[in-house]
Amino acid sequence: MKARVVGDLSILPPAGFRSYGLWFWAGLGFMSIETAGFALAIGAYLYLMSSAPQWPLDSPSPDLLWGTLQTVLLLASLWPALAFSRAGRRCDLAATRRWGVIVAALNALALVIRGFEFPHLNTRWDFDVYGSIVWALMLLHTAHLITDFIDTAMLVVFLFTHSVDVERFSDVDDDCIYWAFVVLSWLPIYLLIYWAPRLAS
Amino acid sequence: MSRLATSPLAPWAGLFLGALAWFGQHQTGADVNTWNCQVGNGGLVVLAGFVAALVAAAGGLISWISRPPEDVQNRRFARFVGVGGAGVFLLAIGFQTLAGLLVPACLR
Repeated sequence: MKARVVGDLSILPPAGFRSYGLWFWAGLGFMSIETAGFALAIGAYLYLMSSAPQWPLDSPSPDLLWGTLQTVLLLASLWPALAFSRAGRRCDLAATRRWGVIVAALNALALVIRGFEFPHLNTRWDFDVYGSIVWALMLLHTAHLITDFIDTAMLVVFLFTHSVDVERFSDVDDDCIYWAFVVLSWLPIYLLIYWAPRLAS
Repeated sequence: MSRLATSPLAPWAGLFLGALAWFGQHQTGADVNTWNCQVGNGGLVVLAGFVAALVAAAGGLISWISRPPEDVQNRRFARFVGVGGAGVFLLAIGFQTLAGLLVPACLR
């Protein structure tokens, strides 16, 4: 089979924004792999739901409050994330620091709310197959929340403690793109976990 | 009967510890490298990979030896998932460690 070269990333500069930066492409690859992981887990949920006599099998549906609050918070956080990204692309250090603190705080708040979501799923991870797949989806997304919180918090501390060059400003932009991915990937999971049991019963 | 043979969590140890080790190694390597690429060099990558591999292997071992005298089907399935999960995460940890050795830290 003959290989077909679709692009040569070796010509990219050491640092740059969006498609001019190597990390942007690495991030896209990372998100593609993770999207496949989400798709597999969502496919497993739909398969189990379609073959079950009732859904949930033997538990009440999850309480709506914390999951819906989480969804509202995540969607609202896109606006400061956009401001953080724009400040980074302008190489405006003061604004980048300011928005970075806000975005990191919102990331932390999302983790706190996630902590309240688990006890309100109304099922245990080992109770039955419904409980297992619900917890699997939640843990999969929670791993992304934790990763992004650590990355954003570290980046913000870095902005205050180190000299900041174009490479770090492009990291800010990449971090915001990844956060948007984490937020958008939550929407189908939210619908499946919180609304599918209500609509299926 | 040992505590491992009766613990409901022990058969899953390989899956959970393997995932935790892989996640921890990835996060540590990425963050240390971003913070100071001189520190996030090959030695640290190998050390983090070694520790992560030990944790994942220990999880797989716990899953394997958590067999009660009379193994029931559900528990056997969980043990096999635990051992298989540890194997998959060991492979991922190996690839991450290899990638850390191939690409110079300050180019990452």
